Amino acid sequence: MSVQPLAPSDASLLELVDRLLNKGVVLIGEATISVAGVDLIYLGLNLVLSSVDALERPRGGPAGGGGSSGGGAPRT
Amino acid sequence: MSDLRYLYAIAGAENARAIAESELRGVEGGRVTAVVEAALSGATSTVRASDYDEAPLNEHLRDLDWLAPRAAAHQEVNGRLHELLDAVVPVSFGAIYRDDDGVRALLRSRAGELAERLASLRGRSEWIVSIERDAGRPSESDALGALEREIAGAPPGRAFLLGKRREEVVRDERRERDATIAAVAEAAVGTIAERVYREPLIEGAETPAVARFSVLVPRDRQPDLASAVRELERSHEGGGYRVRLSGPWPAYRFGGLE
Repeated sequence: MSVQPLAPSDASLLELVDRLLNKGVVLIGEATISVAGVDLIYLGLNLVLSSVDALERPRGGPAGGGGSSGGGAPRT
Repeated sequence: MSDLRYLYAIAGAENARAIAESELRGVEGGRVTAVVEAALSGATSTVRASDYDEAPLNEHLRDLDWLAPRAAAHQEVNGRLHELLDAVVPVSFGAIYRDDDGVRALLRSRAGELAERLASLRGRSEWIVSIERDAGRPSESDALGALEREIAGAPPGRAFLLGKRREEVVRDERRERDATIAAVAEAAVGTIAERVYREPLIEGAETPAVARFSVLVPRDRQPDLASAVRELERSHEGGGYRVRLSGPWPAYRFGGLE
């Protein structure tokens, strides 16, 4: 009933990486080493992470109509 | 033997002291310090070249066990800075500089653009609104009900064909409902958010999201966003959707757009 925002610290690893690597503000200047080919890495990771996610929470419970928040994200 | 600088975020130079006093620890436990250049400052920590130079870093990134705690640490630094400061431009994971001068060069060469981004983020937070299908809830339309009754009374061959037809109807109806709730959600959050960005769906994510939005919201309007989301969920209770709100995030998305 109440929408309890899910804190970023409760986000799944996949969501976190989605934000930090895929969406993160990329500032590549000459002086930067930076992560090369972020998109490629992200694509690969995406596969790895989603399978890990699936392992960590086997078909999440019916996310309690009762008290708690709506999400079933694991704590990392 | 040599060290590199890991950059987490950019803030105003007036925040340098707050960054230094935050006593935050970075990805490898190093203390987060501010590198100042004119009106801007960068929050950085020291990392080893043996792990963070281009080749080893890109090697490490394939290793989930290596990445997970460091991604969490990166976000923790940014999350704290976002709490402490009025405006922060978070940088994506793994922006590494040779030394402080490299960071200063960046702050100098992009000074105007960074100042603009900071101004556009001041006093605002990023949130993620995702609409998910409630898998447990079966769909029941009149058309479907009629079809099911017909299947029940049909001989096997015809029932098989009708069954195929039924699958099609279920899919179409679901697609239509998904599109409806996505549009309704976009409009609802749009009344509160300054900026709304419809995210591509995360391929292969465990929860079947129908739509995801990143939204930029003034910090004092967070309660309004929460109630808009609550309202949205309530109005579609029968429709079999859940709406999830995640945040407040530093503006990873909106700090980088345009």
